[in-house]
Amino acid sequence: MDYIFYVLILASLYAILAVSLNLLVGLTGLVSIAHAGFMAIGAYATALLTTKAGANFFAAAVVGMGLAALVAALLAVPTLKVTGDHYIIASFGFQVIIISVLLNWPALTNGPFGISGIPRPSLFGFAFASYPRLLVLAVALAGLAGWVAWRIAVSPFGAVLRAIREDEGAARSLGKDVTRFKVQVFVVGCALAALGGALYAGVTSFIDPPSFDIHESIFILAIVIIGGKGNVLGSMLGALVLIVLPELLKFLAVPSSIADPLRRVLYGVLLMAFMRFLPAGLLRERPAR
Amino acid sequence: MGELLQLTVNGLIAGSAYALLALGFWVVYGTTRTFHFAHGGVYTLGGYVFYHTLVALGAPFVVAVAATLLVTALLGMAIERFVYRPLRAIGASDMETLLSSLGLYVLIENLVIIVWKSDPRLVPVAEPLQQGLPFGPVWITGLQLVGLVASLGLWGGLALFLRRSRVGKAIRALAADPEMTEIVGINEDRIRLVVYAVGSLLAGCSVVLSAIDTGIAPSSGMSALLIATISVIVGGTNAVSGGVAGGFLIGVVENVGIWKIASEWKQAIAFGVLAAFILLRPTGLLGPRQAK
Amino acid sequence: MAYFEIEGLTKDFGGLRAVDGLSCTIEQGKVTSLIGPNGAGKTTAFNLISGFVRPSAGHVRYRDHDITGLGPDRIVELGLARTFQDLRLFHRMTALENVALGLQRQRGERLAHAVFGRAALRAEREVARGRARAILEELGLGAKAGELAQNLAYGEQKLLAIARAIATEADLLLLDEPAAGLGREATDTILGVIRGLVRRGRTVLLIDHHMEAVMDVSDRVVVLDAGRKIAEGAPDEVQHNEEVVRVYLGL
Repeated sequence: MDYIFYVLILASLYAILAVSLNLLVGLTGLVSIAHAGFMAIGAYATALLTTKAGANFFAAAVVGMGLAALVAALLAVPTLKVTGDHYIIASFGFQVIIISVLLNWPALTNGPFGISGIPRPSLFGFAFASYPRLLVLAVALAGLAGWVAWRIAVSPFGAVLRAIREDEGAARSLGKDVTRFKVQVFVVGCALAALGGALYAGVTSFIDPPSFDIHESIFILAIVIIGGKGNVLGSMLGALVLIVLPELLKFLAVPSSIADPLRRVLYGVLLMAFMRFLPAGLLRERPAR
Repeated sequence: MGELLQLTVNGLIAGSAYALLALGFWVVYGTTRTFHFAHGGVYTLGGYVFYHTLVALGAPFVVAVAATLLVTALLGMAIERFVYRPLRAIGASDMETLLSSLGLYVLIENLVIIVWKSDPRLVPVAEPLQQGLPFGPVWITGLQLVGLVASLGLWGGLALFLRRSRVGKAIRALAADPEMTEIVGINEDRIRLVVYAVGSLLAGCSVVLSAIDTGIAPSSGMSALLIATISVIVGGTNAVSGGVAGGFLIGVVENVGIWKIASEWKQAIAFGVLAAFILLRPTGLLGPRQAK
Repeated sequence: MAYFEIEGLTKDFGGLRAVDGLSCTIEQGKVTSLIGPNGAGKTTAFNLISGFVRPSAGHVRYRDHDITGLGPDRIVELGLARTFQDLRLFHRMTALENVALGLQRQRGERLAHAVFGRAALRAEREVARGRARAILEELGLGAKAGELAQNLAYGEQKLLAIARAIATEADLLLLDEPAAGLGREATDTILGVIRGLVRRGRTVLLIDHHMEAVMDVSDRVVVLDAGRKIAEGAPDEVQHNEEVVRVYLGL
């Protein structure tokens, strides 16, 4: 039973990550494979503040989000001029640099050994210690992230993002300060990724650099695309599908050593299949009313 | 001073390997403008075929190399024929093609893990090749020498092929102006198959040289792809020599860089160079002054 | 202070001088046309004026402001908007959405308002839609408000591009080939729109190749050749200018 809770918690976690990446990729056309890097910022900030400084989980998570927002803002400006393939490579670069920092700065991050003993979140004495309680928290946070993303998507702000996605020059010709929009959406998306990271730290109690590497980023991207670019509910559905489906593999008596790579083979194939047969994803983007 | 010289030489030799990687990637990217992420997968699979044939099956070196080149070329062509061409036929966007390529990379990397597990595999190399030989004030190992000669030779061979042969000229035409080539009667689909075969063959050569030096691991392809794409972007995507120049630059900067910065930051240094170029000179070393 | 003036505007692309010391003034409330053979630098001039390309030299002044080198978004804020030769509509959005995007100072485009201002946004949206719809109706596109831009006929798309620019409330409109590729009837419709704009007090600067249409609707014509101004004046003056005739007949 605990196992089912855990799977659902994971699905909620990836919902947060997918919904926030969708703001960048789906709505604005900024294909980033650095999302796990920002998740890491949130996770490590939370882990360090709760274990080393005894801070409250939620306070630490907010600090993590703030830090991610700051880094995102700094990163956004130079990468503004960069488009298409170059942008993806640049995001790749940032992802790699983040992991390098996490691995090679043991004084701060304990390097490859990671940080363990991260306490479960608690608020005013109420501890989210059990899986059912963690699930409630995870779903609540996923709901929050989804709500923020949805509000943005249906607003005039979102309409401008879609305009930028289709034709940046045309958007500028209508007086839109494209720079501001791109920086702002990037900051929000990355801050929410950090929220996901904080939740991850609180749930798993142990984090290390490989949990946030490029494969994670690609997986989150796959969820966004398969779920449906530009559709918030789609991202949540995508997370559910891509987390729950592989778990069903476990019932097929697959040896545990190949369970993980097999899961990845699955989503790799799904990504290819969707691009060929259903590029809009499971839930296609609906025009704002 | 001697140390700096040695590091620079190391850098140039590493650079020659990177240049070869860049060449393989550029042959596809520069001509078809497809961001062939799966190229990393071709590289990795090639490396494991080499390892398996040489070590697990105990075949002679030449046979292992031949098997590697055969598999990589065939895989590359199969990817073009069965993944990219159908996508083109339905009018898939660049992003959709890239995502497909990404999915394919994930597929290949994890199939490799399923078959060969995730620990790195080493390839035994003849002792004498690992010895350092003095060349004036610097030391170069036999292995490094082999790598350098092979890289330069392949670069020369590719340049000749592109310049002299009919197929090579058709490829350059495709790179310059895809619409014109169809009109002039060049079969674009067939040229693309050749492009993918050549690019993948180069990847096969790269991975063989790398495997005998540092072995092979499932993530090797990703690292190689990264270096290749950085080199191509830094060097400029317009000409063959772009990726080569970029590769040498990255090699030298990385190796000289670790004179003062700890070696774990090598990859970060490479990206630092990339960042500098993106900001200051986006068309690359050998690109036109101003982007069109 | 002139309403709008260009002074010594120059642009070099590598070795090519696309615009060469262009100077002229535009009178408020009139229609001025920029004509010239292909490659004369007309669209480049538009790009320079509207902030899409940085001039190599020269100044552009609009009312009190020196707008040389400003970005397009800032220039629209100051009251100058443009259309594109290739339209650049948002094809996957409806006509209404395209025009609505032209509206300025929408609070819903501010991030905080977008997320937290639900009630206020709803009201603003109604107003915005109303205005966008009104503009579409005026241009005869009212029935097509809910159509995707990519599904409109070419003539309707050209009108939509202008509608979008009108929505910005710009006082000076730069129209790049508004009648290109249109038949007689559609061209007349566009000319009617332009005259309507002027009646409402706006100012229009346009580029076009339809000589008849240009001479018909313009108060003033400026002729460019190889980046330089070679003539300027009322339509019939320019039509009979020797230099202009020579340049157009390629003699």
